[in-house]
This record gives sequence, structure tokens and C-alpha cells, in this order.
Amino acid sequence: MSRRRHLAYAAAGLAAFLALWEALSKSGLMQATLVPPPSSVPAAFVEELTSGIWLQMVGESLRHYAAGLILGSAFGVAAGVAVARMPRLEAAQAWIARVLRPIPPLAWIPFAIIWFGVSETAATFIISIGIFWINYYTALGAVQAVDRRLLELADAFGHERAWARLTKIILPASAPAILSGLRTGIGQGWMTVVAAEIFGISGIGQRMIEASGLLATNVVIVYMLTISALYGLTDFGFVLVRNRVLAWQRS
Amino acid sequence: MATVVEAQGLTLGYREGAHEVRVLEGFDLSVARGEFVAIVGASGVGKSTLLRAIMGLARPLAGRLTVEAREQPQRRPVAMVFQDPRLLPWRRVAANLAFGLEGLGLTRRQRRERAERLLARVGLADYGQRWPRQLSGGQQSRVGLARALAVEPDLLLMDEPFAALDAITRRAMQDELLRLWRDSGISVLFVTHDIDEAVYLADRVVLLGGSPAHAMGHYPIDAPRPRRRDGDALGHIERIKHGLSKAFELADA
Repeated sequence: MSRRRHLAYAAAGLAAFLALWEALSKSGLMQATLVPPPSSVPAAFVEELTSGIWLQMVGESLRHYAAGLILGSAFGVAAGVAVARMPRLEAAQAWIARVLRPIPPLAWIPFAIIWFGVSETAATFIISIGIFWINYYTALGAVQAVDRRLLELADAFGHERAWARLTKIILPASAPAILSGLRTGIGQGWMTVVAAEIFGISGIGQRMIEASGLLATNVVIVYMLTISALYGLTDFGFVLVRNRVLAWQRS
Repeated sequence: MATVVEAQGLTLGYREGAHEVRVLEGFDLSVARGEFVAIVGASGVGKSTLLRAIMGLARPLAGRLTVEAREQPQRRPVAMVFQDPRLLPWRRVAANLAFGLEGLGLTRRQRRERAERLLARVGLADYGQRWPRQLSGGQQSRVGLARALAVEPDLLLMDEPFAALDAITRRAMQDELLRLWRDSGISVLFVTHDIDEAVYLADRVVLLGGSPAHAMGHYPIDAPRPRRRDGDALGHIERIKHGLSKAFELADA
């Protein structure tokens, strides 16, 4: 299918979906509070925007998100690389990781509150957990998969010291995989933002809970779409950076 | 004449649990300064193990191995050309060439100048800013060779460097290597399984065979240079092939 036809079908599909939804909720077949008509969403958005709430909520959520993303990514990649380079450490972490890995970020909420109180730190902590594990395992796998022949090359040309091997071979060689882990983390982070805020930390998540309590479901949809847009933007920005870093890879 | 590599009763291999697996046993070799020595043997006979030991990447199980390459500032005593070009795909060609120059105390500018000079010497002056994937197999091979020469070694180790190239490119690379060797006066230890190649290139051919492997014969190639590919050396090739088939008979017996 040509690019233009593809675009046309995508737009038509979306329009049909919205039209059907609008018709269902206007016809009274579905209750407007349960399924608000899409046409009521822009008005709700304008109201949130003019009252300044939207900007405030987005700002706060972005702060939690950015802090959690940076912490989780940095610690995840660093720990993954370190463990991959040290066989003893790898053996030592095996069972610990197996116990901790399957615990979902939301299950940490009680501890987050006990340790950090109902605070932004608690939200950041919860967001960072899921991101940490993704990056930990991709970095670990990526470094272990580095072509041994390239390490031999480093030895042959006088780069046998650990730091030189790391910076000249291991990190660049595992960069494609590590970057795709970081990208997965960027998506995962937005998924936890809402959950990390529903226990009373100001941000998009809390605003959604408030709105649903008042049955202002169109406001809930405003923030759902906000998350989609923010994710789209961060992902788009990341892909630009990644393509630049991995320029050597393109064919 | 001064020797660059001297091996006596050299035994190489690896330990597997309690017992050691010997790949090479009682191997003698000496390479004189400026000499071009080829080591010929079947695949898996321990040629790469030998080169690794000379690089200092593997320790002998027994015997003596001395490498008398000079440690000099801004140079590396020994350099290696691998069977595959082994370029780093994330570095541009010029940066690949400078790989061995990093950590030698050269300034960024000196490194770039040396890399450019070497690129010109292998006929790739305009390719410095390309990515390795944009080069043909033969061009990548030349970059691998230039990378090794860039560190201005006393001893150049080559591990079947042209084995993966097509026949025409291989010939061109052989002649290019001879030219660079003649101009630089370094010693070359060239591993190959191709007798014709060994005889065309080397001052001396060492036949490696047996299990564990050892030197089955040393064949001086006295044909004058520049050599012809068809004439001068044919007698040598016959002799070495004869030696090789005897080695296989011994191995089969």
C-alpha cells in the first residue's frame, strides 16, 4: 500500500471510530457519564487549560516522570553493565534478581509511603523501579553479547585495561541494545506515572481520580490523551537522539 | 642477525580442569629482523594460538618464547592483522585507523596526521570519513592492514589476512603488503594455509603439522624479488607440498 493510501485509511479509521462513539453516546444507548461523547472532550480540555490546572498537573507529573526515568535508567544500565563484566557479581545477584524482578512497581507503594511518606520522592521511586529492571536486563544481556573478537582486537592494540575496554569496545558495541532498553523504559515510565500518583501525590494521576469521583469522565479522557501525547513526544525526541548516536548503523 | 622472535621447545595450549590440552608442542622458530616468515598449516593446527602467544595474550605451557621487539615511545612493538578486517563499525575509517594510536601519548592532531598518511599509503586517502560498512571487503582489509602499520611496529603478525578475499583482490593485497614491507623494513610473521601465497611472499616458510603441532620443515625461499607468480617459486611449492603430504601421512598413521 502506498504511503498516501495508508495515511488515508488511518485517518478514515479514526474518524469512523469517533463518529460511532459520538453517535452511541448521543443516541442515549450509552450513558453520557459512562461514555462521554468525544465532542465534549475539547471543551473540557480548554477548561482545564484556562484554569491553569492542566499545566500544573503536567508539570508535576513530568517532574516525577523525569526523575524516575533518569534514576531508573542510570542505575539500571550501570548495574547491568557492571554485573555483566564481573562473573562473581553475576553469580551473587542471580537469586536476588529472581526474587525482586517479578514484583510489580505498584506493589512497592506501601514501602514507598513508609520510607518516603506521601511525597514526590515516593512517586519517583515507584516510577524508577519498573524502568530499572528493563534497563538492567537489557544492559546485562547486551554487554554479555559483545563480540569476543572485538575484545581480542582491543587486547592486540594495547587497550587491555578495563576502562579502555569499556569505553572503546563494550559500551559502543552494546549501545544499540542499551538504547532500545532505554526506549522501552520511556514507555514503561508513563504507564506507572498515573499509578504512582493515585495515592495522593499531585499530578495527572491524582487529577484523574478526582475527576472520576465527580463523574467528569470527559476530564479523565483529557488526561488519558495528555499521557498519550506526552509519551509520543518523549519517544519521538528519543528516537531523534538515538538515530544520531547510531548513525553508523543505518544502511 | 638480530632476531625478533625466538621460540625454543615452545608448548602452547590450554588447561581444561586438571589436564592440559596441548595445541603446539616443542616448536622452534626464529624470525630475524626484517625477515618475512610464513607459517603454513591446515586449519585448526594451532597457528592462531601461536600468534596469540607472541602477542603476549597467552602464556606458554612450556619452553621459551622471546619477542625482542623494541618498546619505543609513540609506537607499539607488535601489531596484528586478523583474518577478518575486524573494524569497529561505530568508528569512521580514519578513527578505526587511529584505534591503536590511542594511549600512546600522541596528540589528537598527531593521531589524525598519522592515520591520514597510512590511509594514503593503502590507497584510501579519500575514505577517512566513511563508515566501514560503506567499504568493500578488499578496502576493509586494507584498513585493517593500515591500522596495524599505523602503530609503526617492529613485528607484524598476520593471521590468514587475505583468506576471505576474492582471488583478484587477494593478489592486489599481497603485492601491496610486499611493497609496504619493503618500504618499512619491519619483520612479518604471516600465517596462511595457502602454500602458493606463502612461497610468493616469504623469505622462509615453516610447515606446521602433527598433533600436537610442531615445525615439520623449514623451507628457505631463495627466489629473487620481485617474484613471478608462475615461474621462480614452483620448485619450492612442490617441495613444500611434498612435505605437507608427508605430514598428513604421519598424522594419519
